[in-house]
Amino acid sequence: MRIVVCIKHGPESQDATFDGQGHVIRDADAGINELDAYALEAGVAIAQRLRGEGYPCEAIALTMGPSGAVATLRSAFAAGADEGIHLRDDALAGADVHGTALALAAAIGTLNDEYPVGLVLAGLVTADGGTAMVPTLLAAHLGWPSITRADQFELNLEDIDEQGNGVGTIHGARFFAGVSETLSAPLPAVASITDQANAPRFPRGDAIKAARAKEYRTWSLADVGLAADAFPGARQQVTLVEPTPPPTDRYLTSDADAAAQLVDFLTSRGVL
Amino acid sequence: MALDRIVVVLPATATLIDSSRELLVAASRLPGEVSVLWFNGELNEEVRQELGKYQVRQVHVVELPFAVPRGVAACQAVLTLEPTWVVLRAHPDATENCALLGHALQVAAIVDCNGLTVDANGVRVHKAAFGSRWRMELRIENGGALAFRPNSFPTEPLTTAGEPPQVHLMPTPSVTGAARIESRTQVPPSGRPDLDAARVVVVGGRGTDGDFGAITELADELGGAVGATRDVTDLNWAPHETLIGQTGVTVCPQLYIGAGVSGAVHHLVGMRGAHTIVAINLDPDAPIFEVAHFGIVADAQATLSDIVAEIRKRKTASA
Repeated sequence: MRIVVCIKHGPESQDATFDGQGHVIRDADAGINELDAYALEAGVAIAQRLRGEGYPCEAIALTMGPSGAVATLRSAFAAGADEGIHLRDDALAGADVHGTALALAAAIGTLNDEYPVGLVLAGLVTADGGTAMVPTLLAAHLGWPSITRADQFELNLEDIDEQGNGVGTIHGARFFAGVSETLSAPLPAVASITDQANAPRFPRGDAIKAARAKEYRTWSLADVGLAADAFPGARQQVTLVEPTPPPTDRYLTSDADAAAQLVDFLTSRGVL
Repeated sequence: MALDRIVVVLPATATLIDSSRELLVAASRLPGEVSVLWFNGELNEEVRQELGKYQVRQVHVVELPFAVPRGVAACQAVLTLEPTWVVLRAHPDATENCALLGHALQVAAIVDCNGLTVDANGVRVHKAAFGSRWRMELRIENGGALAFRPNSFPTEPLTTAGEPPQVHLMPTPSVTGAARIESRTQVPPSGRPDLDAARVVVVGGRGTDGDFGAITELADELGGAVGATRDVTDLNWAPHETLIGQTGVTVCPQLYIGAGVSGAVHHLVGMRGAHTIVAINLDPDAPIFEVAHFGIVADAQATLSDIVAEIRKRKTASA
């Protein structure tokens, strides 16, 4: 059984810049989207546990992006990923959530055709797009159930059959907006994992060194069965992108009557 | 050609809540006829009358299946109405709903929107990017599923005249192939507004040393919600559901007051959209002061008490 972990190469939020089309620039300075490390840890830990129990299982890191995204694939190797796929195609530049999910799902489908994928994992949210929609869309494309935003996550495997299909159930617990839920879904399934779920390992020096030389596969859209010239553009056009201006009327005080000054200020702004 | 249909997804409440009113105002700016999907509760006559003032023509009342993730179930219900536009309140369930609606309707799906412009150039939604360090406008054609943050629109209807809408009972949608909800429990209500929708949010950071007494007192004085930073929830000084930031709740209140909050990037991305930011910290170089409209360099606890006293003094004086 294969476990595919989707990881994104991108800048941290304080370093973000955009190109002329309003697309985030993903250069060599970027790295693995911080929250994707938890999904990677979950996938690697499950694969290692199942192998320890005698099951054939591997964790595959899948990333989509320009040439610099290889750095993120290498960091996934250092963190224990068994294989890596770099989905790279000029037609993917500026893809929105729908295009991203279409391309990733096609890559997962291609992997699944080689050998069965039982589980797809993703992080809670990316720092750049910030939508948290892709895991749900992957599930929709694949026709699999999904558990999103799992603060606790486990896979209960009953068996892996002769073809490599996992038989079992994923369980997740999540908490948001005052509601806590526990969920389950049969394999194959998709899940997104929060930073509450585990503690990503620190790669050891020898793992980092081995990661530099590890082979990975680079796939184009054609390699995953999609036509680059028919790949859908974003369903929205960026008409404006600019830094949020800092407050123009900043005021800083350490006066003894600061509280009174503050109440005056809030009253004058109509906030109180 | 038939009018485009706009569906506003609203949780059932005994009276119309401000975050719902905002969505109705947003919907009324879009081109088309407005319907409401009113889920998981009764619709009373008072609410029906008020919906009419927002030009709502139809209300569909539906009970969503318990055992299905809410976003997935709500999407099934919305799809039966064949909408062009869907307007929701930003929320993790709405994120899932938005994604699935965009997928099924072949339209744009945009979450965390904080504004809307509709003019001769078409429809543009406004949103913050990279934790409100950047702002964007996105032009959309042919419809979309749009999740808006609370505190983004006025709550008053454009007009006050309007016939109350027709009410339709929708059968519970059947959903197959989704994950199964094994259990769902609701945290007992705190009596304070929802953190993501509160007009005022008072936040305690590490500089409070774990004493949330004055934080809570000020929040209650202002009718606001209580929030916390990652340090504070990791130390169990405040419950995890009060966490504001990238992995917690995003807030965009009219007034944010951070006491003993330094302003780590992970926190700033969850609060920088606030309309007025007040920061209290002993360290004059704390990063939060860079985004604050009003900063006080002082001890958090003493200053909070001073602010509560000052507000009460003025209330008494004006009473």
